[in-house]
Amino acid sequence: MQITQFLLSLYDTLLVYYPNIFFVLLPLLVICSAYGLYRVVVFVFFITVEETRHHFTKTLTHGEKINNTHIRIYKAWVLFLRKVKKRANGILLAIEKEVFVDE
Amino acid sequence: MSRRITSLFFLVLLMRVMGTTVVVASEYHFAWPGILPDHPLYKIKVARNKLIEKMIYSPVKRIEFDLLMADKTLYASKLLMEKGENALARETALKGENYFSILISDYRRAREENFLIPTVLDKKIAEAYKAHQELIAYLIEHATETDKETYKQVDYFSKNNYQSLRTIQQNQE
Repeated sequence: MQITQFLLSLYDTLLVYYPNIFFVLLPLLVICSAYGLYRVVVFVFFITVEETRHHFTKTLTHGEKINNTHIRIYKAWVLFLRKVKKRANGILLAIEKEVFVDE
Repeated sequence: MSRRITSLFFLVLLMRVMGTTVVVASEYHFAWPGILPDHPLYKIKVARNKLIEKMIYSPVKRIEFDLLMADKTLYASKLLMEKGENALARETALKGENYFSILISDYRRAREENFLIPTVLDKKIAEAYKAHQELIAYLIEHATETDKETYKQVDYFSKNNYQSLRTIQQNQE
């Protein structure tokens, strides 16, 4: 019962504050995965990441004073992005190898 | 591999939530409205928002959604005015205040159905009202003589709505 309530609450929160997860990201990921377009799946993932970064900087420049907490989070965010990009390159290479071996 | 992608996805989500919380923590800030009503794709966004409204499960979350929409629409009105789209800015301000009216009826319904409304949300609505008042005052100050009347009407609706909300809150206490 508690898990159901938690899931419903999570669903509502995502729907209210991050609707593009339901209306853009998930449908795209499902379609791309169904057609085996793994490159597009990774690309869509990065679009989300970039959109998040854009949202973050846009909010900061939106008439608000930048404080140390913002800078710390932003630095952590950039580091995280670099790591994810490295990892994703690895994933793409692995997929290409797999496809090459199959052929 | 899929597990890794899933965990990365949730990490991104967490970062996003963190970012948003920090930004609004100190004082009230309007959410960024995204594309404005003068954009050709805005109708799609409106349709999406109507769909979201129907998809929300909890009445309390619906109140939060109404508040978010009111914030975004009112702020969009200011941005439109700064772009020189005065007619559209007027219309958007009225629509923004209409979202606040919807919030009041959703709030009443939630109370009638005995849903517990968190005090944090009550406080947020009160802060939002103050921020709306400041924004409307800005709009009145910077509007042309003909537009001023519409913004004064928006101001009247805003005060009326908040009064209704206070009445509901006091009746339940």
